[in-house]
Amino acid sequence: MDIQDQDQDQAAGVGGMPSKPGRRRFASAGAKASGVILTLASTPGMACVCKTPSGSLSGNLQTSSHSTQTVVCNGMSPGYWKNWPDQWPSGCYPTTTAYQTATKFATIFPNGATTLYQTGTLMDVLISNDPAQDPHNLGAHLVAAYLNVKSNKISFFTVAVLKTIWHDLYTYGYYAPAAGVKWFAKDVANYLSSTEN
Amino acid sequence: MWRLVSGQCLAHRGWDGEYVVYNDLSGDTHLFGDDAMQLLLQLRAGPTDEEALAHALEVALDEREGFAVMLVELRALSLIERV
Repeated sequence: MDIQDQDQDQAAGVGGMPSKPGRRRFASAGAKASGVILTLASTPGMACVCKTPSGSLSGNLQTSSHSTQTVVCNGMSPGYWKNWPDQWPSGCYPTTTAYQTATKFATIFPNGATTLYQTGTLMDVLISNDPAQDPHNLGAHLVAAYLNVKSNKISFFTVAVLKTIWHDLYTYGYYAPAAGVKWFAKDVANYLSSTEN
Repeated sequence: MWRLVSGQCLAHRGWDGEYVVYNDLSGDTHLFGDDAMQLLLQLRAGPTDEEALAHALEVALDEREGFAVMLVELRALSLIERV
């Protein structure tokens, strides 16, 4: 089957919902899922769905009668990591002390185009709200994703994947999560933010 | 206001009330029920605020929580976004 082919004839019409008396609509849990049933990922790590607070009240986001697989992630936001430096995983240092030097952004994500990327620490990137230095907050979301992976809050992609994304963005101007698909900096930032609670 | 994420074409096929949808941004393939598909098709027609969307889809008051959860789920899949 060519998945790109549209098959509008078999789709429910916009104008009227299918009439199914007795069916509980907009049920995210139950015998008959009516919403998001499952996702087949094209690239590891590129399709996971974070459990949201509201989602956790109504069941797992990828649970249905068709699949018992549950995908859960507990990624935290740049704001969380900025405000809770004592929660940073071992080996990552938010500030310079007598015992260690603050971790530089460029030691993990090298060759960035801005001064912030080249000389700033992970914390500097989290704190910065300068769109000229961190367009789309991409660096901040990368740092959050990096700390999420290092602290085992998410497991569906790795530091290597993050480094590949960064490499491809500064080398080619985009990252390709699947053949024929281009994610630019804003797209990557949007994706990473969707992995944060 | 909610809208489809730019670049999503919603290529899909449906069987027996379930729909396979290709995600143009992630390259993933999703399986959705009737309600999620209706919601996406409604947003393909144009950006819509949540109240108008609920009205268009005839969402009952006791279904609003599930409806809100579905919006969050579809947003997490980068299919729709709030503007």
